[in-house]
Amino acid sequence: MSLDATDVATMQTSVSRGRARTSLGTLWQDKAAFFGAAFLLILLIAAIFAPLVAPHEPTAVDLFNRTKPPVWSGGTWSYPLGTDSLGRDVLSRLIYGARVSLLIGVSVVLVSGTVGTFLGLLAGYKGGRWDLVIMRLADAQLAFPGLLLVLLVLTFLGSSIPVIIGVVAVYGWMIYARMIRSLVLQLRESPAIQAAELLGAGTPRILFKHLLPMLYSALLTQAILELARVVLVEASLSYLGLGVQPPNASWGLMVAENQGDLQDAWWTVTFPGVALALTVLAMNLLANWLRVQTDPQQRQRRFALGSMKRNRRGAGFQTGGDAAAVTAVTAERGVHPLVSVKDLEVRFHSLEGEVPAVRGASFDIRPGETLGIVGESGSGKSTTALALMDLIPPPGRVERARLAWEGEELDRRRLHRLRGSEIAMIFQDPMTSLNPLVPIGRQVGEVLVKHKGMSAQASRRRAEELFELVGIPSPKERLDQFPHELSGGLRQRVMIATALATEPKLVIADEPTTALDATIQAQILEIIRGLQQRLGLSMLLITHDLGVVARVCDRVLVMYGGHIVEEAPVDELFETPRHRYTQALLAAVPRVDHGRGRLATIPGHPPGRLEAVAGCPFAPRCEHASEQCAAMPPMAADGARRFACWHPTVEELVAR
Amino acid sequence: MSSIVVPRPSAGERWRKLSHGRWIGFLARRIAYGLLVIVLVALTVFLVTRILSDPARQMLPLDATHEQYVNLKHSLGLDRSLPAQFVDYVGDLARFNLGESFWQKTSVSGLIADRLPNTLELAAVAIAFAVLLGVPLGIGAALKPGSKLDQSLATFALLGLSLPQFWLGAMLILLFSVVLGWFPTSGMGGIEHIVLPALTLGLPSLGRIAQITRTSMIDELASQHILTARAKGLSGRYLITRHALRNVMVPIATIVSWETAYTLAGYSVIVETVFAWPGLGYLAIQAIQREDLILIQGIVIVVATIVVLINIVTDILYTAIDPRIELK
Repeated sequence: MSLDATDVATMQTSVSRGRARTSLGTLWQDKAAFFGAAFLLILLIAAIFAPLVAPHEPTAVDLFNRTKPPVWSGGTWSYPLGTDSLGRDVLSRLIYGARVSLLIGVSVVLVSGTVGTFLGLLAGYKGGRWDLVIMRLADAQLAFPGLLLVLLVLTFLGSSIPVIIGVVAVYGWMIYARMIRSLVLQLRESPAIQAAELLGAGTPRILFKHLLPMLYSALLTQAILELARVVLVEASLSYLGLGVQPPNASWGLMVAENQGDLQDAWWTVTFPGVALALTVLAMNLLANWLRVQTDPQQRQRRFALGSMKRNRRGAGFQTGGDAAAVTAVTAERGVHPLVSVKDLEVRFHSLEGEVPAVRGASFDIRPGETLGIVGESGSGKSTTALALMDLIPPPGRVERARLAWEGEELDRRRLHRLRGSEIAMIFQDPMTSLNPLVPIGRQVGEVLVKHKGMSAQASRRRAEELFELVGIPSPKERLDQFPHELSGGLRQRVMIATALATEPKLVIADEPTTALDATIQAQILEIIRGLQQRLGLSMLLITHDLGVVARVCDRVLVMYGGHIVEEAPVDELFETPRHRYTQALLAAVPRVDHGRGRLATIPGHPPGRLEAVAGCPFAPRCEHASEQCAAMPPMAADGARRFACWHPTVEELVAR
Repeated sequence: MSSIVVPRPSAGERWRKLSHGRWIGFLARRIAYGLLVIVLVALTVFLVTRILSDPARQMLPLDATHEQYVNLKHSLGLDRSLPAQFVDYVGDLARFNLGESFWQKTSVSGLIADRLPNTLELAAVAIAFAVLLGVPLGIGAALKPGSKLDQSLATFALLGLSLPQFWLGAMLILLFSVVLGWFPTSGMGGIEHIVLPALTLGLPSLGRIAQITRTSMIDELASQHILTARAKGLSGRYLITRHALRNVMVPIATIVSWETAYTLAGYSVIVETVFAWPGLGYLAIQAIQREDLILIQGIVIVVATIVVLINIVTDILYTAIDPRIELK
């Protein structure tokens, strides 16, 4: 139920267009990231101009002013953050500590980032043996926590700053290499790179002129994250006595030197740690912000999580009204429909605003009938089915709906109680619909335990019977198998068995055969139809396949652009489509009996979800469209049929 | 709801179905790969110690004569070719002979055997704490993204990522030992001794484990098969424990094994130093300070072996969790 690829593409372009203009503005909006950036900027300036900024020399010993507290707890302004046991100024040592920290951090990131990026580009683009060797090395190094090895090497090489930089850089290249490699694997197939290859660009040119620029934003984010990690590693090494050596100042070293005075001079230990924590925190915040800014997927994800929060506060199911009003559509027939849906409205909330998916759909499902919903992808047919189960995934939301079950109005809680017991659902893709880690026998049996109060053993026996019913060979042996051990057709049979287990009154089947092989499709369809007739249950069948509709359904709803545009008994629909869209849709079906004429197609494309259409959604593609069509046509009733069209086909016949 | 019990083949049953031959092959390949990693680590250690420094020079007093130096080198076998020395070295390792410590004048394996249980004890408490709290918190946050719990957990994880562990330890000492006087500042003894070091060691892991659990759980809850399970009317604790949790066990196992390896091979060095906890990490730092080369390399090899074992156990766990993972 994710947004269409075209929608995402539209969003991406609009995001990247807006990025340059708004990034500084959004940095200000995100207080945490703004704090991070501001803190790092100040730190950088202080570190670069340390000799000018620091009030004292970092190593200047003042034996008359040993362990002076900070100025607010009785110290003096000449040592604002106090002094350590040798009378050295804590503030000045912090500033010089920042210098060392950033020097080592930035150098390591430059070295390991360059090496890692180069190896990652090579592994991703060249593939083959290059890839194997580089990635094996990276995996081995990642699997082995190297801190002890780093300590060992530093012990023997001595802890000068260049050695620290070298050793820590060796310890970190593979993180870049892995990231760059996976990005390159995606980008290698992109049109831009393929075009460059066709034009005969050499490997170095493709790597550095074409691929590398596409990776800058990801690299920058990773580099800042790594900078944070390296600053911590340097501090830890210095704390252990293997990093920056005394009397030089380093934050880690300051904690180590003064830990013994923790009781008497807390400030000497606390402030270096605070400086370190704030620095690392600032870098992490900035990196997080950057990641969200440069990756539209992350933005969408964040947004979806926000809308989940909103959905928890309740969807728009309405109750309390007159139940009869809901079922008004067919109430005059004297029989209660099994389900009545009125004014169903579903919207998807996106970064660009609300996108309507279903706009005020009303329909009934009668006892024992099979109702089909046909439409192109994006027409809102699957969304309608999911809304009926209150299973719309975020960022979607049922804005409005009135439901009735057997003549009684349904609120959300009662609807949830019907799920799985009275209403069952079969999904499109049996590959992903079954839990891969649960034996299939249990996936069928658990609904019986839950809804029928069966014992575990009884549910197992019943599952076996159900497997037999849907034609699964050697059902007993299958019970303990896992979904991956079954073919797609068998899995869909398991899904059908699950749906039928509780003897529901309504089965919703959402494209139940679309994901299957053509030969299996017919079998599955036959099973579904046979069982539906034998058990006398109602079915809502969602499909884009008019052939399926003709074979299985009693009545049909045609959806377009989130609207139900036509409703009719199946024979009448195929004979005389009233809505112009239905007409065009039927004309576009290849038919064996109509010879070899050119296949009619509908010009244009269905509206994207982001395009707001005020009037008839089909008007832009309709050859009969007039000015009238700028307004949404009302639903006209004609016997058992309904349609929403200003220029229905019969009107044309009359006019002629 | 939690009373729903449907018999399913236990992990044991599933294992028995697999032929023994495949199992032996699987374990043999894992162990061979593990041995390869250990040999590579041994080679690195060997080269670092033999090329970057001179053990004989370090063992002798500064005023030793050249003759003494040559004699010592010969008696240690250091005058032979590097490959010959390496073969001897690996041979010693295979016999669990890690040499004799310069500093303690006793066998390195004995010293390590003394200290290793202390490190394992500390790490076990820390990891247990991190897992038992981190996994439920991560699940709770995933169930209600954007809630107070979720937001505080995100902040906590970010802090865990940002606070240096040695400083966190020092601050815990300052608060709970110096100011409140609840726990001792350092050393090993009763239960009260392990609280602060285990907290220091476990808190950052807890944050990371909770974050991974949360992210995996959010993805899992949005999956098609959870949608199916909801359509079947399943909900609440049953849906989470019997359907969703099972699928996030693989990423959780990965992060827990990762955290365990890094705790034993990295973080414990720092935390044991802060709290003077008499474990392997603290021993390593003492050995480094005394330039006790034989002892350091012994510790590195032992830790490498432990990490390899953890990785093998994790691989076996994967196959127990997910029937789709083939033994290969």
